[in-house]
Formats: sequence, C-alpha cells, structure tokens
Amino acid sequence: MPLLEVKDLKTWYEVKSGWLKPSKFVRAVDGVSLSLEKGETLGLVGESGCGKSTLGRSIVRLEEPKSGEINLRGVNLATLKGRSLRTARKRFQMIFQDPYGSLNPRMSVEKMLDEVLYIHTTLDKPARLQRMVELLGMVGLGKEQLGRYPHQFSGGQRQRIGIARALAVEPDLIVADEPVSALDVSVQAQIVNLLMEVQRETGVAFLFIAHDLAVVEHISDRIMVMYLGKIVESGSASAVCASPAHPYTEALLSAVPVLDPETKKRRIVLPGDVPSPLDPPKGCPFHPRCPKALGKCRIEAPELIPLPSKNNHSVACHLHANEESIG
Amino acid sequence: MTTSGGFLKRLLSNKIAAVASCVLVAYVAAGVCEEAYAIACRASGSTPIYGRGNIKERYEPPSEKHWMGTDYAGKDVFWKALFGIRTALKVGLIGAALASTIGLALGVAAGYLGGKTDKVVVWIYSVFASIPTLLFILAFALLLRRGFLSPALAKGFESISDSLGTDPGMMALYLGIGMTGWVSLCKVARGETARLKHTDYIQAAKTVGVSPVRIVLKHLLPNLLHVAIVYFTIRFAYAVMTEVIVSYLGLGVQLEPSWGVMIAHGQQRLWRGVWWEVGAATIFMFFLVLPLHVLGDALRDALDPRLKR
Amino acid sequence: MSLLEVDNLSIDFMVDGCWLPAVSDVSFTLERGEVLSIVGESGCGKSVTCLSLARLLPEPPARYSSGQITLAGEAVLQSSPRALREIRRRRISYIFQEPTASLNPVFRVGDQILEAVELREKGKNNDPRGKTLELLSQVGIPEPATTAKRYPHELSGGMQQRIMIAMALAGDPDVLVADEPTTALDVTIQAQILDLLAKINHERNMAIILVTHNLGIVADMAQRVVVMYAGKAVEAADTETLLRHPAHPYTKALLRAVPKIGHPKETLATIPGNVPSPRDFPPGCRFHGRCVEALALEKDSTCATRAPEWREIAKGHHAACHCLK
Ligand SMILES: Nc1ncnc2c1ncn2[C@@H]1O[C@H](COP(=O)(O)OP(=O)(O)OP(=O)(O)O)[C@@H](O)[C@H]1O
Ligand SMILES: Nc1ncnc2c1ncn2[C@@H]1O[C@H](COP(=O)(O)OP(=O)(O)OP(=O)(O)O)[C@@H](O)[C@H]1O
Ligand code: SF4
Ligand SMILES: [Mg+2]
Ligand SMILES: [Mg+2]
Repeated sequence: MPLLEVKDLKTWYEVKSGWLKPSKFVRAVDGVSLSLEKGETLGLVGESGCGKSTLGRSIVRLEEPKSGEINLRGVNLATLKGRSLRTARKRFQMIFQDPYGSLNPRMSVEKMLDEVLYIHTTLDKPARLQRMVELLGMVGLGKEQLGRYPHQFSGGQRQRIGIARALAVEPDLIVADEPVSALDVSVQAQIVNLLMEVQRETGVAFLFIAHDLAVVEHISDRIMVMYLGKIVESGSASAVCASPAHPYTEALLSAVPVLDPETKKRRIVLPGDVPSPLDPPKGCPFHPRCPKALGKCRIEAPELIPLPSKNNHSVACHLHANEESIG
Repeated sequence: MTTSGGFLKRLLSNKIAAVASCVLVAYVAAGVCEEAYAIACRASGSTPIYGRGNIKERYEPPSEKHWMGTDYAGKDVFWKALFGIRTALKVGLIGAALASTIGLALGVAAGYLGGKTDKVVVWIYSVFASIPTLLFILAFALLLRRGFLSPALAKGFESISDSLGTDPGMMALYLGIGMTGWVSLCKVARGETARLKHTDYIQAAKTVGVSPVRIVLKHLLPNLLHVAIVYFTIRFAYAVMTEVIVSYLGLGVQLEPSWGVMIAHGQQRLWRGVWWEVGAATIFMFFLVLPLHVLGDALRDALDPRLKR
Repeated sequence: MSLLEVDNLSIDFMVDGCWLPAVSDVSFTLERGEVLSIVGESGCGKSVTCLSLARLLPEPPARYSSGQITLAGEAVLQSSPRALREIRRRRISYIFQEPTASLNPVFRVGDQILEAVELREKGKNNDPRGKTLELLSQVGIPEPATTAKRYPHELSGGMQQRIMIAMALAGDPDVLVADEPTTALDVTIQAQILDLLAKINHERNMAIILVTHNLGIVADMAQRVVVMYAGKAVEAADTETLLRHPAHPYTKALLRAVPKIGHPKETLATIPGNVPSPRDFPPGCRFHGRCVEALALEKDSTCATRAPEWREIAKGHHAACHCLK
C-alpha cells in the first residue's frame, strides 16, 4: 500500500458574483488522484493559478476538500476534524514558499520549535532542547541561532528554519510549496541539496511543488503536470522530461531556458493566456492554446490514461487515445 | 525581546515623544502617591488636604499660602487640581482598559472565527457606532445615579462601588466609557486578524497542530498588540476628557476632586474675575491629554512595522 | 563609438546616516542591435545600475560618487534637467518586473499609451491615436482597438507587460531597459514576452539591456553578459564564452549551481555562505570568504586584502579576480 493515496480529490472555492446572482465555483482542484511511496519525491508543476498550492494545502488539510479521499497510511485525512486532525498532523507537514512570511516575527527559533515538540512529543525540557539543537544541525544551523528572531536571518536561513520546523515531528510526508522559488540561485542549490539529504536520512516523502521544471526534475522521482485543476500528465521524472507526451508539457519544457548556447532549441510559444478556472473551456481544458488540437478536443474531455508502452506514464490527451486502442 | 529594545530606542529618539513620556511618568507617579495618601486618610479617618477649607478664606486669588488661590469653600485650588490627577488617571486607565479589552476580544473573535460570529459582532458595533458616545455615557450615568434602575439593581450597584472603594459616579464613568470606546479598536482588530489569519506563519502554526486557542493567544495577539497599545493611549486621552465633561455636567464624579467639577464651580464666578479654579483645572488637564496624544502618534510610528528599516 | 558607455560607475546610498556602496566601479558598453544581459543575485545592484542610466535614482538617498555614463554621445550625469528629460523621452525607456505596479489602475490602457505617445511626440505626430493602435499590434495584442478600452486589472500579467512594452516604445528609444520583465510571469507567458523583445530589437535596430537572475534566459537572449556580485561587475564577455569558459570563480560556481534538465537527483554544486549586504562587504575581493579558489583559501592572501582590478583577460572578455593571469 502506498504511503499516500489521494482519490478523486476536489477542492472548489465559492466566489460570490454579486447580489442575488448564484455564486460560482473556482474549480481549483478538480478530481485529482495520486499516490506517493515512502521516501519518494513527487514533483508537481504547472502554471500559476492551476491549483498546485490548493492541492498541497488540501492534502495537509489547510483547505477543506469538497469531496474525495486523502489516505495517509490508511487513515482518511479528508474526514478528520478538530483534535483528531491536530494529532494526525504529526504525520504530515508543510514547507512554505515565502521565507519572510512563514515565520512568526515575534517568536524566537527556540519558541517556534519548542512549541511543535511540546505538542507532539512527551519529551521534557532538556530533551526538547537537545532535539532542537539536533534539528538545527540537520538543516545546517548552529545552536547559537536558537535565541534569534526571524528578522535576524537571511532568506535561505529562514527557509532552513521552516524545514527544521517541518522535520521536528518526524513526519512521513512533507508538502513543500515552492520552497526555493523565492531564493537566489546559489541559495536555491543549498536548499535543494538539503531537502535531498534530509530525505536520505529520514526517509520522508515529498510532494514538491514548483513552477521551475529544471528544479522539479532535479529533485523528483516522479512528476505530475497540472493544468486548470486537473492532472494532464504524470510519469517518472526522466520519462516526462525526455519524452513529454502532452502538448502542454512539451511547451513547458521548451520554455525552460537551456544554459548551453549551442542547443538553442525552438521555443514553442503558446498563444493566449491561461483561461480562468471560473469557466474552464469545454472539452480538453488545454485546447484553446494547444498547437496540435483535434476537432474532438473541443467537445470531449480526455481522461488520464496510462501510455501502453511505458511504465506508469499517463497522459490526458486525445492524441494518445489512439495508441491506447491500438495497443 | 530584541525587537522591543529597538522599539524603545526608536521611540525615545523622537525628542517630543521623550518629553511627553517624562510628563506622563510624573503624572502617574503623582497619581500613585495620591492614591496611597487617600487610602491612608480613609484608614485614619482624617480629612485629606484637598478637603480642608476655611470658609473665611473663600475666593482668594493666588498667593504664597495658596499657590492657585481658593475656591468657594476656601479649599486650596492647587491641592484640588493636583488630586484631580488621581481621578483622571483612574477613569482613563480603567475606562481605556475596559474599552481595549472588549474591542480586542470581539475584534479577534470576529476576525478569526468569521461566519456567524463575525456577522453578530459587526451588527453590534454598527449599533454602537451609530449612538452618540457622550449622550450614551450621560444617559447611562443618569440612569445609575438617579436609581432609575430597579431599586434592587441600584442597591447592588452601590454596594459594588462601595466595596471597590470608588464613587458610584466614577463606576458609571468606567462602564460608560468602556462600553462605548471599543468600537474603532474592534474594527481594526477584526480586519488585522482576518488578514493575519491567512499569513503563512499562522497557517504554519496550524499545520504543526497548534490548537486554535493557542494560535490566537500566542501567535495572533502578539502581532496585534502594537495596534492595541496605540489605541489604548488615544482612548486614555479621550476617557480623561470624557470624565471632565461628564463631571462638568454634574453627572460624573461627586465625592472626589475632579477637574470637571472644578471647572463647573469655577465658571460661576468667572465673570467676577475668579479665573484661578478654571485655569488650574484646565492646565492640569491639558498637560495630561496633550502628551497622551503625542505619545499615541509616536507609538504608532515606532511600532509600525512598515516604517522599520 | 558605442551607443552606451558606462565607465567606472559608483553609486552610494545614505542609510541611517552613513553611505553604503550599492554599485562600485562598474563598466560596460552597449552596441546598437545588441541584447546585453546583466545577471546577478538579489541585491547585487542590477536595478540601481539600470536606473542610473537615465539618472532616475532619487538623490538623496542616492549619490553618484564616481564614473561616467555616455548615452549616444551625451554625458548623462552632467546633463541639465532639461536635457535629462529629453534623454528619458527619446533615448531610453524602461519596463519593470511588476506591470501592475507601473500601470495606473484608473485609466484605460489605451489612454495611458496615448499619453506616452503625445508626451514623446509633442506637436510632431498628427495621428497619436493611430500610433497607439500600431504600437499595440506591434506588441502582439489581439484586437488593439477593443483592448485599448480596457482597464489594467482586466488584463492578465502577460498582457499588462505587453502594454508596458508598448508604452516604452512610444518614444522610439535607442535603449530599452528591461528589469526582470518576466520574473512575475508564467513560464509559457515568459516565452511569449522574450520572443516579443527579441523581435522588437531585431525590427527596430535598437539595443536592449535585459536584467535577470535566470542564466537560462541569458543563454537564450543575450549576445553579451555582465555578471555582477555584491555591487561589482565580476565578469563580462559574449554569451558563448561566458557560459562555456567562465573565468571568474563566482560565475563558475553560479553556473554549476543551476539545476539542468537531464541530470536528476545529483547533488548540486553550491556556493557556501550567503550574499553579503552592503553593510558588511568584506575587504579585498567581495567574493572572498565564499570563494573556493585555492588562492582565496590561503591565509592573508591578496584576495583578503586588495580588491582585484577589472582587466581584459582575452579580447572582449573582462574579469576581476586575482587568480586570473
Ligand atoms: N481562498 C480562495 N478563494 C477563492 N479562490 C481561490 C482561493 N485560493 C485560490 N483560489 C483560486 O484557485 C485557483 C488555484 O490557486 P492556487 O493558489 O492553488 O494556484 P497555484 O497553482 O498554486 O498558483 P501559483 O503558482 O501562483 O502559486 C486560482 O485560480 C486562484 O485564484
Ligand atoms: N532607495 C534605496 N535606499 C537605500 N538602499 C538602496 C536603495 N535602493 C537600493 N538600495 C540598495 O542597493 C543595493 C542594490 O539594490 P538593487 O535593487 O540594485 O538590487 P538588484 O540587483 O536589482 O536585486 P533584485 O534582484 O532583488 O532586484 C541593495 O543592497 C539595496 O539594499
Ligand atoms: S487533447 Fe487535444 S487539445 Fe487537449 S492537449 Fe491533447 S491535443 Fe491538445
Ligand atoms: Mg501556489
Ligand atoms: Mg532589481
């Protein structure tokens, strides 16, 4: 049984459009299923507003899912409430994007970490202190930093503290929502390495959200590509990046600027803007921007189906529907 | 806390604010001494200095014996005005504390819980915001003073104020100011809480499994405190002035020296050139209210995180 | 003569009563038709350098402590206010990272472009409205006439950035400075905007200064690159040389630290420590302390005591490092 199994998860936001008018729904996450093994990293990429954060936040239950299941070690998190949810939080944690906003400006590092340990462990004060020093060591900070306040740290150091806080309770799963997007290149590399090292040491599983495909490919075992609240492609990191099956993934990959000036590949420039999730296009949500769209794409929404020849590589695109029927 | 050290430095680097703080410290010190003196007098049964008067020396202008002259009963105006500090501070402190507590509690509850609670709180403060504050306090004081309440209630109220050792008029003032003064803080606290609720660090506290009560007390409130402190200072100044006005109208303080009562009495002879009673009360009030306003503004600047760095 | 020459430019800021260096001894040139990229990490002085080109920094807190900026033969730093206005109108324009912040929310976008056109072409152009629509279609806005009637918030980030570009082109500038124009945009929209910038530069025979911290964009767009670190230019070369044979230790480390597609689960090379802030720039070479070059690791080496000079190490390839001969 996988560590985490999400089934047909839907999280919609209600938006009031005005007096007397019926309220509309932003289908931020619209029927997502995924599974994650112990010690695995699943990368989640997609354009801004496609619902990556909402998916991550629903899994750690910061948002209330509308329907669906989130099974973590056989416990359905989607139905937990109150105290039982708070206790269960020991098993899953989150790392946030903004290193400046995710730490309480009026709490020292010590207070912050102590609170977590106090809630979830039975350690006494000296033991907690020892554990805190150990945690800081794990993320590359010294124990003299314990008494400091967030504003006394740089962005990268703050992100390390956020990681230490998430690791404090030895969770099985960490949802990392764009943990390196706000960091400088040189610091970004430090944090990416740190996350991989932490995973080797503790066996924690990551759901790693980012919009930079290069970073995601680097850190992930598997990648899922999201578009307008739905998964359009998923597969092993190398397979998705080496042979993308969905036209959107292709465009996304071609838009990742390459460092080597020689392999100047042709950018696929998609026309138009991302449609609003308030009224997504009929049929395939990608069809208005798709350079390869077929007539069928405008009418019928494609299902996420496994590609026949390949392992665990699935795509939601009519272009590949034929392969399926042949194979 | 490291941040508070920087804050004090920033505050005191503002020269006017530093002077204002000194004046306020002097006022508070005077108030504390006076309270001790009043308690001692009550215990020994002696008439306090501001209550002693020689009817033969009434309406004497300022002299060496009476620095600020005497009033209609020959009591020393300086001592009366000085002891007015105690009354003003008490009303200011208790009234502002009540108002701030109510405002903060309701605002945080509304902002954090949202939904029905929010709607109810918004409704309550809209009602209070549409009542003229001073009229409400006057009506409230009148109601209590004249025993318009049921006799049993009036008795109870009297015994409460007795056991607290306060003048029933002052009780009415505390409550009146407390019940009307919370609206604007409530609005601000509600908005701030609703904003803070969505910040990453509050969300992070949630994911870590911190209980809602603890989130509010340990994570939210410390980040709201600066608003409350600024608000408390300004409300303090208003409470002092409200006390003066209500007492001037004869509905406030009765048994203790009060600047409002002094002005009311003094003005009756003002046309005969007896200016010192009104003058003394006004000057004492002025030098309490002005520094409070100055300090309120300085605190706002010093505590505003946007002005940091 | 080059279109733009920046020579030994130094800029300080007054912070809490003392002058802190934001940019120190930066030199580069820009030719017509070229895209020059300025790269570096946050706070290294990219934006300050760019704003100084039209003397746009508020003075105080800023101070031009040394150097020369020559734009199309005019000395910018010595120009009269009147001449400066003329330079800003016709010679150089800017687009910034956040289009939302640069557009006025209460005016229609068409009117904002129109205003820019009228300001630039006072009396000369008899059809400013026509020029507005022409600009809109040049920046790839579909249905220019209808879009011109919209308000900024009705447009997506990518569209807003196109409007900003249209406004910047209103005065037919010689130099377009794009300060992280795509950082706030999605990857696929970023591709659209970069494409547009390259097309415009080609068609108009102007020159673009492209500020970014994304080395991939540099590889894609720029002919020449200036790498900045802690307020100093550390290396400048044509793109190919810089990416293939970087000379400065910082450039080398930066290139190694970028994850590349096709190398999963490797440990990335990192640069130890953090970017110093102007308050605690180390003496000597500012990269000293994070530099892993043998020379820098020696005790009391020249790196720790003397700032390296900006030298030409090969034709058209400049760098500032003691370990380069
Ligand atoms: N609280 C909310 N109420 C209403 N709509 C919301 C709310 N939060 C998010 N949305 C909408 O849901 C959609 C998905 O948002 P989400 O934040 O998950 O996107 P994302 O993929 O994380 O984007 P980004 O890359 O910008 O972080 C967006 O259209 C957003 O506007
Ligand atoms: N108005 C100002 N007052 C004081 N210091 C300033 C001011 N503007 C910029 N600085 C300082 O100048 C230095 C360079 O800033 P600059 O904005 O040029 O960085 P940047 O390279 O553009 O960074 P980013 O990638 O974050 O945009 C920074 O250390 C900054 O703190
Ligand atoms: S189904 Fe059609 S529209 Fe959708 S992605 Fe595939 S090709 Fe494009
Ligand atoms: Mg997000
Ligand atoms: Mg900048």
